[in-house]
Amino acid sequence: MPFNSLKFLFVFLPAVILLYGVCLRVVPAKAKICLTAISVVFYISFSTRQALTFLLPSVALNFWAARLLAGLADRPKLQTKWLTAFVSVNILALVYFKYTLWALEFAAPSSVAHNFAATIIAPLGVSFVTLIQIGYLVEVKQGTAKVVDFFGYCVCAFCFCHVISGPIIHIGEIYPQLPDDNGAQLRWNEIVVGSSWFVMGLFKKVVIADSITPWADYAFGHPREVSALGASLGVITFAMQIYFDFSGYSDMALGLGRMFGLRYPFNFNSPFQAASIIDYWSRWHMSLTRYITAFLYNPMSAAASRKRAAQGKPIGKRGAKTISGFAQMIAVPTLVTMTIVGVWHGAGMPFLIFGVLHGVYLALNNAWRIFNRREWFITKVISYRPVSVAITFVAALFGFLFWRAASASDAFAMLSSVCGAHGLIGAPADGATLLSVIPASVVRLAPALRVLGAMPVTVTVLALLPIVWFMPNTQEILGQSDVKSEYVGYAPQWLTWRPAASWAWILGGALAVAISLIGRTSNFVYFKI
Amino acid sequence: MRPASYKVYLLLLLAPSLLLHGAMVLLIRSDFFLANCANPFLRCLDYSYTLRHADCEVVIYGDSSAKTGINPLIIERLTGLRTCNIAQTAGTLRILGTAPYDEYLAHNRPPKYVVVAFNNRTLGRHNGAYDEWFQANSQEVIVQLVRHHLTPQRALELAAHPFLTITHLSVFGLLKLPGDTSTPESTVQAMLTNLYATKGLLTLPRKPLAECPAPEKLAPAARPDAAWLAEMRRQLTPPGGRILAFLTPVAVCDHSWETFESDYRALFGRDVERYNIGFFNDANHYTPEGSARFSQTVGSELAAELRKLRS
Repeated sequence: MPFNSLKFLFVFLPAVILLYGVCLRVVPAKAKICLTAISVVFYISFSTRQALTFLLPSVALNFWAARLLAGLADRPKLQTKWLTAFVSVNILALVYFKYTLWALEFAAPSSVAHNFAATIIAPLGVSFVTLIQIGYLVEVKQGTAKVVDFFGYCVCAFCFCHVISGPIIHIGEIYPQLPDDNGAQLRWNEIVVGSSWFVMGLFKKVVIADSITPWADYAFGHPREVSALGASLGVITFAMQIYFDFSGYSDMALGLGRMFGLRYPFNFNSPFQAASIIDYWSRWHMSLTRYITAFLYNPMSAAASRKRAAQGKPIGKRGAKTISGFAQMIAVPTLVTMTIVGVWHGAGMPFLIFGVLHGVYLALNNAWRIFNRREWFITKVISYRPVSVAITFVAALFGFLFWRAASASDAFAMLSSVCGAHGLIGAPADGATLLSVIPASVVRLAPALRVLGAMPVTVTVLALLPIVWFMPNTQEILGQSDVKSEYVGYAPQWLTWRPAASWAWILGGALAVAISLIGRTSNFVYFKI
Repeated sequence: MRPASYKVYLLLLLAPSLLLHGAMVLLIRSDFFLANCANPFLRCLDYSYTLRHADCEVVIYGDSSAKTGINPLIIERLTGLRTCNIAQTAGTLRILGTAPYDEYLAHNRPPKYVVVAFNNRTLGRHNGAYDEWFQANSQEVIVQLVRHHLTPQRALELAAHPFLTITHLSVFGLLKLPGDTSTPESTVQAMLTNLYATKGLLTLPRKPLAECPAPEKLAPAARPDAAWLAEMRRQLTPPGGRILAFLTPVAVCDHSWETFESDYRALFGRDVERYNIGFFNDANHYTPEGSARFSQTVGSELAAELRKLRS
């Protein structure tokens, strides 16, 4: 029962809001149990088997592990050993579910091994639930997170609002928001903000992302045929698709959380407005960036700093200005971190290349920040914001090309097409060109395209660019900028949401359009992660 | 905003969806819809409801394989009887049963012969895996229902399947919007002209197939539903007339249903006809050549029946 389904919208959601509201009024002490039960039912609606074989055992094990670790606070060495063991178990489970099939296909393509691996289906949300729980164990070990009660832990680990694709939360930031037995209630103003947020996300997913998906699919399905312009448009289309898809999902998750009184961290903050790759990663999948910075990059960088300090070498800003210091404290941790991020997104060479590529980007970006000189001409050019935004966007597109391609060879074929290997402008062999009138087959796949009629794909996709470059994002429109003011800009007054009838009609219209198209939607791109 | 206003906000948030889908019911029942429907098949299916005093002596009824497979002009040539094809879709038959035929009878004299023809998949006795409301043709069913059979009882049926109804009453799925290039209007007009000229034969504007569709793209084959067929025969048999039932031909390369071949043979009292894939323009529908061949079979049998009757 995905968020973008009528059953979720008109049966599950109203029912659970009502149920939770009643719980809060009648048995407030049991509200967490209620939310846990709702989340289990939601998960079971996808797969009972996965709930029994992955979700519930994983949650039970990690809850018990956190208690054990907290009890060993006065025996740090033993605590570290147990932490290593528990984190290893989590990672092994993740590796087993996500990479067994790929690894066996890669190493031993025998039918027996393949048939065995093919039976392994990665449970829904495995990547997100596992990361959240590993983060909690580490924080308990560090003493920065407290031991919480079981049902509170369950809500934080797999609340239906975020179980599928995040945001990746820290249990310590969500647990205090859970209702205690002091008369907490559902608040109408939160439901109104949350539902508006949800509708905006639904519109982004169903109306925008799903409408352009066939074009990206077409281009990436014919990497050895499309022209340079067609391939470039295909890559741009995929970038738009994944942005509107995943940020739409995140908006829905944040909106749902808000309805239930939970304020999740933002996941997107206009990433295509970023002026550097470092800036980009602070705006794209922000909860992942925060997580990997805290649990991967910082520990690695700190370890390198300690090692250098022990050797009497400079650390900190002074150390980073030396080649060896930069390499040890920044470049290597960055590369390792982003490689892991790439592999976390999926098995296979394209994801590995995606990760390494962004590791190189970030290392170069850091090097540029440290080593460039203000008086250089190129520094002056790049400091001009439109130029830096354009460079960042193209770099991100390059990464998306590897993300979306079915294989490394397809990615390089697509890259050669982008470079003009199959002509600059021209139709592929079957005549269904990305540059001409929308092909009938594509229109049939996505009836939403009828809205756009015969408008060339070029114009349609390019029309989305001003939206992602210049328009305020959903949290800005909703006036939620108080949460992360250092990132969030301020939408113009006329574009700032208010709980007024005019906005209800506007968003109601968006909801009506989304509902009209909802029967033809696909899964979220991040479902497969 | 005070709490009461928040409730108003939420109601207003839902209002456009309710208005849109309510308006779709009115829109679908209008002539405007028929002229601007994005699905040419839907526009063609309305043919049977336009017949007034056509008083056909042979009425062809069945699913879309009958609609695309039996040419009334060929039947007329072979039998000398006035013929029309008012076949519907598989979904319509399953959900609305003989209601479209009954509607025809309300405005025309009963025929002497009814020819019913079904694809083997329409006739299959489907179990839990096959939810009648969730088959691909249900958009056509819901539109037919809303346009011509919207009784209180049928409205309750729609209400019992709200998600499917909402999905299929989508304005974007049904209405041809400006600039739509999926099926050019000239093509639709040609289909309609041919439909009326042939008294109800629908020819889809598609090329003949070159190879058999992959089995996974076909609906699952199943044992024929003899009870359902018997009930259809009972309801369709004209007073004082006769009914002939046919299984529409299957492709030579389609082996998925062969497990049940003997059941079909027993049910219809004849071998199942098998055509080369070139006579099909999709898994269940026929090219003009395919329909000419099957019409010849049907017409010949009907002519023999007539001769027997006269002698």
